[in-house]
Amino acid sequence: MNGGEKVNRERSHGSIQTSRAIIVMTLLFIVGFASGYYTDTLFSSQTVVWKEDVAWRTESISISGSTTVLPIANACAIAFMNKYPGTSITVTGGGSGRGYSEVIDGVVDIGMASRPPKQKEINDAKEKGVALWLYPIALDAVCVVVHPSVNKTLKLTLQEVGKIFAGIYTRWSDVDPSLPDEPIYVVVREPGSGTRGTFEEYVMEPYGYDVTDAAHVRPSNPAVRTTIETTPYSIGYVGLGFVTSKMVVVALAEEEGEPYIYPSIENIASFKYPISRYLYLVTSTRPESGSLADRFIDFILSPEGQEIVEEQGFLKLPRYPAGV
Amino acid sequence: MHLRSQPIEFVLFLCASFSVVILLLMLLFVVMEGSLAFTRLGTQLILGQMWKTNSDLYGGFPLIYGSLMVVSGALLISIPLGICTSIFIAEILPFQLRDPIKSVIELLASIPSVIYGFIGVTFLAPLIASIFGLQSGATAFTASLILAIMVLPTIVGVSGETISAVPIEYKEAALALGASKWQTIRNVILPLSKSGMLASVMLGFGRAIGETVAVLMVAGNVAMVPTPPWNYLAPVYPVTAVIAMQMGEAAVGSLEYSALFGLGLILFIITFAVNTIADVIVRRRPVGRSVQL
Repeated sequence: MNGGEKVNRERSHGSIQTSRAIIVMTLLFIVGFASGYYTDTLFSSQTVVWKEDVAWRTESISISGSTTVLPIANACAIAFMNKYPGTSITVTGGGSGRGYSEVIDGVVDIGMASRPPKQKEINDAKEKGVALWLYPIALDAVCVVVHPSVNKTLKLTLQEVGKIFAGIYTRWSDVDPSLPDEPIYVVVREPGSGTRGTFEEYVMEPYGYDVTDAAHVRPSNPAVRTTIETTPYSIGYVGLGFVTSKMVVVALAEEEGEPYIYPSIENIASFKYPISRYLYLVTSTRPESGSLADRFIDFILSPEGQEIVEEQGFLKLPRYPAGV
Repeated sequence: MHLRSQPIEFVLFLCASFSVVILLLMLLFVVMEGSLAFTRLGTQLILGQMWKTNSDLYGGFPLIYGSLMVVSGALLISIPLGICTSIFIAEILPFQLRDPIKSVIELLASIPSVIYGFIGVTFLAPLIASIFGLQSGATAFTASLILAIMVLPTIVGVSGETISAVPIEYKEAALALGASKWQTIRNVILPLSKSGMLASVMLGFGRAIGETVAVLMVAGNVAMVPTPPWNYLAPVYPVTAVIAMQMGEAAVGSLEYSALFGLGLILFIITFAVNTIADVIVRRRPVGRSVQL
């Protein structure tokens, strides 16, 4: 009994020492912070800078959305952060649908989209009391691509492509007797993808087609690219920046009898290629002038940013955008 | 003494109840979000054959079938492999080698599932495509193989534990009676650790059915029941892959959103049932019963 009490007393003694240590540490912390703050104000008072010019230099923004726009935004973010150390820009994918929904919900500052907003998304924005601002930042084309095993030069009309993706043609020989007598391996993107949205708007919806059940769903442009590269007799669609030499780009014609057009730079810029589109950055309100979001968008639209757009395999805006 | 220990007990109680509360909240959340799908679609969500987001058709049967198919394929491979491995490690391997080999197998569990997915996409899928002469190696079989490797550590670990839990006296008695090593394993060790092994399989099932990333990368993702239904060389679209693929895009509160939660709830129920069964089996301690040789 006695021994136990003794131990008890010793322990409580120990705890007093601990609490003293904690108090001392807290005091040290406070003093440290205070002195840091003091010296900080001391130094900054010596250099005169405009107030609105410093705020954005330490801000951080997040961007999410279309995986087509992702490489552009990512490369621009890296270039921007190298130019202005102290800023922080986080870029994640997820698809155009996610870009719009997260901008509307205020989860991210800027969304990326490879299609204009759907009516549903516009309504959602209205309900939340925000207005979507779209900034076209680049030109792109949805390229229909096939594995080289199909043919080295393939020409199709939009309706033929639609029939392939709708599962009306199931073998390549159904499309044209000169093509191999092999089943068509159809690769599509997940619902909500901007690339899928654009593709279906031009190729499926005008003919009332619906994507076949037998289509293989892939979650991103790179995943479609890998699948097309490695799967014989496959067909899929990717953004222009994701075309590689291991796949064959299909020349498309609006209708039978019209010229077959490849997604070359001139053809996309002149909108001759049937599935040409703009890529967008989206904000939920007009970003405050001088804020980081505002400056980042300006950066992508600047000659320097448009250079990066080209490096990533997309097309600069046809004319320097004055109206946006 | 008593006074001082009370706050600590309270903190411990808070920590312990934390996970229980989280579980209940999650269940509540999933049920609430999925309720729209269950009221609007009813059994269609489980039995419907068509999963087409464009036309608002949410029939989960091909997806649930795909999940169960991939998981049963994985277990068919990993059960014999895992149980033989655990018997070998516990009974036949020299004592000094047991721990190193065990930790090597446990290392399998610490590999991130994306890595399994990478290996599946870049190595296993092309290999399977060339072996079976397929267009693409992204099939249910590939996903099963990858999952089998992923659940192996669970099965080996848990059944290994139960084998080592068999009292040494039983083994000694059997050996003293003149039983060979194999007879001892077959007639003493296996019957005694049967329930533990079953539990390990159930835990492996839970791990496998919830796996997302690796499966999404190699399963092929076609929302159709393969023809014929036992064709493992056809692509499938497991539930977890669908949820991961579409969740980011689904508008909050839409039928699609709710249907995805409904699918999640179905997965939850399946896993929960299996884990509960495993739990009940593990609790029925086998050791201590008499053994018939």
